[in-house]
Amino acid sequence: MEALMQELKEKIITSLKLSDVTPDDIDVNAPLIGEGLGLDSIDTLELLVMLERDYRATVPDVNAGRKVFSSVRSMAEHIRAQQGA
Amino acid sequence: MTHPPIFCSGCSIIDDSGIHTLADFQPWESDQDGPAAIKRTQVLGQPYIAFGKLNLPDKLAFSAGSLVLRESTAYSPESTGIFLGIPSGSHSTDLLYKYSVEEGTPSPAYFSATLPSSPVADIAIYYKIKGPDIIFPGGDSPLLSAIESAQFLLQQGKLNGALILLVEETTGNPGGSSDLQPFAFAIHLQTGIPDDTAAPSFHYHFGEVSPSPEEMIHNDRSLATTLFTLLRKKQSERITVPIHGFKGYISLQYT
Repeated sequence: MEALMQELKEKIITSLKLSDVTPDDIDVNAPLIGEGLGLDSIDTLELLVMLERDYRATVPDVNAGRKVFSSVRSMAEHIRAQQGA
Repeated sequence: MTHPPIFCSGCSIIDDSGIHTLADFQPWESDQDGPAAIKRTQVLGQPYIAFGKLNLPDKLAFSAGSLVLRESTAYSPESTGIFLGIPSGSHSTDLLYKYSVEEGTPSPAYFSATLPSSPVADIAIYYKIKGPDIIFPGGDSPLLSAIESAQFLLQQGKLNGALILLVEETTGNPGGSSDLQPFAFAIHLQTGIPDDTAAPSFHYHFGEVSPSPEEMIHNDRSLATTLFTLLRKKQSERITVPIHGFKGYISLQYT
């Protein structure tokens, strides 16, 4: 799980082309949207594409999306859950 | 009706030689690929997480605008408008989005920037600018159209400040001037007297005689460069420009 969260932090920075942010700056438990990293709805869509492309993980609806994208840890847990399903 | 005088309180250019402001010049670093590789640290003192994800037209507009607003400390965001001339519109971003679709993973970030107005959004958000955003995505001279529109609203007292931008970005534009390096220009006009009391007055106006093609500046990039050079030299001048097929002038007057 730790390795996956580290990988996700790097992919978030790369896929969103974030400036002035390193993986160490991202708290795996902090909110991704609004507070914390301050991502917006377009960023969330970009992360959704990344999850589908790189992990074959899908997010069925908006409510699930709110939970999945609430933190790096919840993204990792969602990927693991789908891979184990 | 007497119009309030308009002053120019900042100007910047980003071109193939480097980053120019009225007070400074930063050449590109030896390993830096010109305007397309501009860095946040070269235009903004504070960290800005969104800088890297801006598409090139947005990044150029944000950078040129930031350089000018940094010099124009007296601007009031509540009554400042943004006027953007962007001859290619969002064409380069449209192409990036098209390529992402063809690769099977359409990019939401590219899609959201497939509007000619996209470059002004991040400036308005970052600097909390509340005035109108007016975009000129084509025509004979988008820069002159932007200047004319800004001057009109300033003269009418609708705004106190105007950030005027020109962004030329033709990378990957089929049939376009793809050999041209990306280019951005920004100038800030205001009706109140700037902090820098040596700032020149600025006036765009009709002339009295028919135009003589050879004496007019038809190219937006040339006009931007001419304006910047005169401002850098603090030189009063009258530049001849076309106004809807007639002869016009932009007058810079230092007192």
